Amino acid sequence: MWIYEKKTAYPINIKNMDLRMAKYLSSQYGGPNSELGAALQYLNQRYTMPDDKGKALLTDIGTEELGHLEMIATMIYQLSRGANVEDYKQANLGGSFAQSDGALFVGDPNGIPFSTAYISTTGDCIADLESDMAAEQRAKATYEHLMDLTNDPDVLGPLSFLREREIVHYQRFKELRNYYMEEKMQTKNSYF
Amino acid sequence: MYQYNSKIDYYNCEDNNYTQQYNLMDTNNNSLFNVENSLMMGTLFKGIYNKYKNYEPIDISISNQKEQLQFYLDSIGFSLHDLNLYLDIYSDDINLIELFNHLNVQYEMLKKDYESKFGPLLTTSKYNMTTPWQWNNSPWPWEKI
Repeated sequence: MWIYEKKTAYPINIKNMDLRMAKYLSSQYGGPNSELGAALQYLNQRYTMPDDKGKALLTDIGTEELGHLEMIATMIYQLSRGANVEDYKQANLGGSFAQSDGALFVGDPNGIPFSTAYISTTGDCIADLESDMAAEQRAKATYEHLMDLTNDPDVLGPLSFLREREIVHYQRFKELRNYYMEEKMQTKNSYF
Repeated sequence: MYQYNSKIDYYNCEDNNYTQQYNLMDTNNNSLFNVENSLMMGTLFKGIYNKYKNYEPIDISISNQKEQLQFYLDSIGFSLHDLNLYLDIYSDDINLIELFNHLNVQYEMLKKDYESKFGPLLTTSKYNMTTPWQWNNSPWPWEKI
């Protein structure tokens, strides 16, 4: 089960409104490489991990991603806080305003709704961990694009934190993948 | 008994080398950042830190006592989590298990201090056993400022 702790994983305190940046950030809220996709993918894969290391790592990283989803939502909320209809029109986001006013949308910046088709699971631990490693690399690239899109230090701080987390997760997934590969190699000397 | 004052002594784990139980680790991540810097760097493990282009790490701004306590709580909580992921794979690393236990005691103390001043972090906290009910008080984590 999960329990809510009344704090964000990393302090977020954005002072300046920036509706465009809020829109771009939805790539990590409900896009193909989003925190939501990562959380669901790892928490879904954990049931078929072969040992305790895998079950624990996927549970713990999946849980961390849920906290990151809250960070992204917090950033989107704070970047749009106080915006009125004129602000939305000026930012070319009248369509977004018409549909949902200031409410968060679980989809990508182009308005495509989140899809579970983004989630990959095979039941094979090597295939699953390699898709997790790729997911971390794609999310890292997305964070780099987002960092390129802003100069606001209040936004860059949390973004660079989240980018580094992708690197750490990639590393841990790779270590686990290598560990399983070594184990398999001992039983049958083969390529994967 | 651990104590914490303004500057926290137990943050001093920098360059605390830990053993490599498996040869499978292919980075040279055998030293740690200060717990106090872990949040800013995005990891406790020096060898895994990788900066983007010429972006420098951004200091976390602290302007009042609540933010200060929250910063300590976040930093220790985050370091515990980063150690947790490592220990899921390297479960025999006695040095880092010791560091985890050490920080865990500090975390519990800080949490009590934070909750006594700024309200419960969990509904089951003993600082939520009050009338009126405190859990639904603002600000919520996304509402800061």
